[in-house]
Amino acid sequence: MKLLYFAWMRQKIGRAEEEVAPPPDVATVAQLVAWLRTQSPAHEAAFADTRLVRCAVNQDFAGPDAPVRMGDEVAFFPPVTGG
Amino acid sequence: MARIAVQEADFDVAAEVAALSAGRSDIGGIALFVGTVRADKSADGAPVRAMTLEHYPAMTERALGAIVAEAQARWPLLGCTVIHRVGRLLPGENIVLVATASAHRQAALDAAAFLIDWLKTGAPFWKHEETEAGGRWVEARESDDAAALRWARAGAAAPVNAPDAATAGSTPPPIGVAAAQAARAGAALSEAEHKGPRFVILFLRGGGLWLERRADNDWHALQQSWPGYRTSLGPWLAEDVIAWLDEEYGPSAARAARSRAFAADPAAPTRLEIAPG
Repeated sequence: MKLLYFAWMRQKIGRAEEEVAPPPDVATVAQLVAWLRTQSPAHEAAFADTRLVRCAVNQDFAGPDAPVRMGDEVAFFPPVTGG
Repeated sequence: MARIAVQEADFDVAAEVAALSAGRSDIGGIALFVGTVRADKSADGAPVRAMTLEHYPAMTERALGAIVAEAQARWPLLGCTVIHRVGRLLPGENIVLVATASAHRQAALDAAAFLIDWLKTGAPFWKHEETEAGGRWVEARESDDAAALRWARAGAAAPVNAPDAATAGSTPPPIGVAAAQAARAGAALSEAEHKGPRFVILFLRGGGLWLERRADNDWHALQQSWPGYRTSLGPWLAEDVIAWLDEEYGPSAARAARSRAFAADPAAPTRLEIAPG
């Protein structure tokens, strides 16, 4: 599973992308976040306040209940501020 | 037809406007919005020296395409251009251009306003400001969410292809939760920590207001299953629905109690009438 990070999520994690292989019981975005928090202090800090974190699965905005599977591209980022 | 571009280079406003009407005589009006970098914008008070726009390349043009398609579905546009710059920009430089062409002014003006409101909340761009004090990421503003949401609640002009558009008069178009969802650009992930049944608020033509227990936000399906469907919000948790109703219509202990009882009873019918049409 390919993870992408943008804006301050990228800075807090310390990288723009990474490949991860979460355990098979990780089936949703929320479960993925819970697992990622345990992976390093940087992940824990970046996901500390999930009210500030948004997600896209395969380039579509996705909520916490959205399914994630091996091979997906999952992006995490703050609320968007374009325009 | 639409032109969508994400680029580092500046754009030529006059050339973009001219391109929309070149060689055609059916256009009655072109609305234009150009967003620029403002120097005095920083939240910490220091003047902004530069602004860097980051984006999610694989997703950006797709998200812009979806927003433009939504505008085209709602208004009879004869042309539409959206250009968003990325990279490091200095005060006074252009950030974004939205231009819409239509036979009549109202559609062009409304579509342009809609596009810029949705761009701010539904496309994956992030602004980073540089000041003398350092750098900071611009925070999303609730007022931007509200600006995008107003298109879900009030609508602006009946789109030509909306059901009953010809007879609906000032009836808002059936827009539904797609707008609310786009406005929030994906629900906050913390919502997973508050599990519970979700409800959609339905607005019917004639003024009827209903709740339906429903976890999905498929407004096409809602439109088909509700005669007189006008628009919808959600799906939200019961307390969020009650809070929204209190804010929109004034607090009502009786309405809140009915809504809570409805939400708490899994054996209840899936629909509850809040206000008659």
